[in-house]
Amino acid sequence: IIMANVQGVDKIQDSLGYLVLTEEGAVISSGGDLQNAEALADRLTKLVYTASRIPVSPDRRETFHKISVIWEQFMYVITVSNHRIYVCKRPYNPQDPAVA
Amino acid sequence: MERQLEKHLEETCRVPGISGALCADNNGLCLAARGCKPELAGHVASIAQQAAQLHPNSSTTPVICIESEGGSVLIKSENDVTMAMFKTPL
Repeated sequence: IIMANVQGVDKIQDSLGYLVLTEEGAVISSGGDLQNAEALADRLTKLVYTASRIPVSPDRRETFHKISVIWEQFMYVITVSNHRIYVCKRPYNPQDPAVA
Repeated sequence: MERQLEKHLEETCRVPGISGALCADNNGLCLAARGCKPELAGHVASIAQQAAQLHPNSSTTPVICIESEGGSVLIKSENDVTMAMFKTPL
């Protein structure tokens, strides 16, 4: 019953960790590298709120469906659905890294 | 003084698929903008800082990609400048 909150975000194949948060940023479920990461959850929630203020497309009514925050070797992929914030930490393996 | 920066932004916006570009400083001041509102500089700088705070000990700053059906935004900061690229599907 508890795992029903997670909507499969814990089963993503290469997942290093996950968080499921309420709209206010309270942790409902967490696992892997993000287990009990409340401080991170707080910062991620603020990031989601700021991102919602940036117009991603010419259609003003449209909001984002995904945010990726990408470092050199891993990334956070964030989505919001049904009043929940889902975060998945995954490895970042670019096939052809862009070289300046 | 900012002519070269504006020239670069103009060239960037000529690339198919790029609808706008914006350059902000750490305080959210818009240094240059093309194809998007300069007022977004504050949000862009803020999100870059919030993302960097997720892992403050990292040697590099992250790239933030915000995606929707109608387009996406790519944000990255380096030294004291934050860039945002607004892309639309071709």
